[in-house]
Amino acid sequence: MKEIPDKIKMLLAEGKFTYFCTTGADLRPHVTPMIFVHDAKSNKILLMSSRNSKKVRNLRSKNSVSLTVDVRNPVNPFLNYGVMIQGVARVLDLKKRMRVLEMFSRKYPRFVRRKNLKEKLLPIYPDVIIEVAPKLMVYWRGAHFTRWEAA
Amino acid sequence: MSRKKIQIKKRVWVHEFILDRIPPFSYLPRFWALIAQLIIMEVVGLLCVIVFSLPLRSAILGTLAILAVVVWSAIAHRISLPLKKARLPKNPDDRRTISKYRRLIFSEKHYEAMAGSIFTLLLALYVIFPGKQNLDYWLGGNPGVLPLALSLLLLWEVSYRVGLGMWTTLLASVRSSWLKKAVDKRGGHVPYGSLDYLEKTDLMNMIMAFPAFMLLPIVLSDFILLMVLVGYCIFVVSISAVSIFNLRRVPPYPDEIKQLLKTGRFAYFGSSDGHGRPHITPVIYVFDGRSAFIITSKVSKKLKNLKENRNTAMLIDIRNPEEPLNNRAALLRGKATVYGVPRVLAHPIQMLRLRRLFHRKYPAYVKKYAEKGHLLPAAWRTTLLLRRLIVRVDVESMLYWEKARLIRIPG
Repeated sequence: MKEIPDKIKMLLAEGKFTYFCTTGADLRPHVTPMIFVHDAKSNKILLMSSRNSKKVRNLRSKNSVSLTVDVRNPVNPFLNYGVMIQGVARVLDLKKRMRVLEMFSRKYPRFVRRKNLKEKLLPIYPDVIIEVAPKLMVYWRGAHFTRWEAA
Repeated sequence: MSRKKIQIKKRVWVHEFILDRIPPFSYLPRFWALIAQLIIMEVVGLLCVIVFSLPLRSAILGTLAILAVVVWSAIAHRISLPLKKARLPKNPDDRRTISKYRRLIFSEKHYEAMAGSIFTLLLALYVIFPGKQNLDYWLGGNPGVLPLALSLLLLWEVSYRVGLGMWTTLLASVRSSWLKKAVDKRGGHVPYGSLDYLEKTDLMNMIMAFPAFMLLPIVLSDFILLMVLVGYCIFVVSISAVSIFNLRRVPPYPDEIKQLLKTGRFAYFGSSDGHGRPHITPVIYVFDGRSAFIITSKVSKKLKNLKENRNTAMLIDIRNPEEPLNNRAALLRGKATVYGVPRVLAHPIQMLRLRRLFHRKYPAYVKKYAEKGHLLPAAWRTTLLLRRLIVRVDVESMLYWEKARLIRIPG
């Protein structure tokens, strides 16, 4: 696996939210803010959702996805930084992926409690994992760009 | 589908009846039916000119009148089609108002033809009786019965469309006033989807003035006819402007969403290429009360995607990193329009307004770009049209999340 730059790894570890974009069969994009974890070992982005959500329904027809994690500076645009990722996603059953739940619990201890998952993860009770394998990552800081592509 | 809706869809204006029900027009799509109408009218007119040895002036003036009639029909079609197709608002007051408006505009009593008939009668009396100077000018002396009858038929066609334009304009203005009053009385908003097609109808009503300019050479020799034509144009344009003004005072979104869209700092702009491969990046944006606007580099991926697929999704949110359940977000889904040179030149007032909105919302960014813009790579500099283009997003549907509750806003 081609190593991803440390600055991207760090941003994916520290970033709290991602903006996840899918496309339906009608070619209409759909965007939602989501919590996520980055599995540095496999370089996969993992998100939790409901199998009835619009994004999961979109993934059934088109598995290409894009997501952005960024840090905004309200005063100086040259200090904004972030990463845009494009890749392919697959939908996995959450029950079989307890390790993923642990990763979420570590990153979002207040938001995700394993024992109280159903209660805390409103509005949608998650029953699937969306696993994104990045194909392209574009990192920016101000107007400087770094590009990573899967080998 | 309700019975009333079926009835509205089936109802047609008098000139549409000819196009929809009478062969050969009824066998053709609307555009080609209009072209066929144009050709048939023109051929009959020219044959008449040749057979009755009418002056060349008759052929030219007749052609102008026929062109005006066909262009009017095409515009009328752009008014009637969205009105028949549009979904009614869910609010009972608004639903009643729009239903009443549609029932009147497509009335079985054909009020639009009544206005046209009165015009035809008055104009025919004016043209025939006071000394026939106009007829002499249009057809030469002693034109014969058939050219006279065809001229009167053309006079009816023109008058009918003038009446139609005035009727649809007047009704639209009354409808906007009803909507405004209803919203003022009860508070709240009228969904942007309804306002959008109503405003487009008003713009089409305004455009109904323009075919009248084709008739200028015909009426230029008669001061009274010229004043009638100018009066019609002023009426249609000014009443439509009043209608648009009233519509724009009706809030298209609930207050909390409008506030979020106005105060949100960043948006996440999702686009997708022709194969459905999405792309999402943060952007700065402004919201003018109806549509969202972003500025993007001419070499950006989003612009390439928009050339292949105009569908977009824009997410605007207020994050609470401590308590994600308190986040608020609005997802706008719609069609993007890229402002190239012709569109920028055609909308100078909107451009000035957008400039003011961006400067007000992002004063620090504007200052930084002015100071350090030269450090940007050439393709990413902020020179409008040369390096960057404006993109407008017209909202077709919207989702709103507040404290983890999903609220679907009807379009």
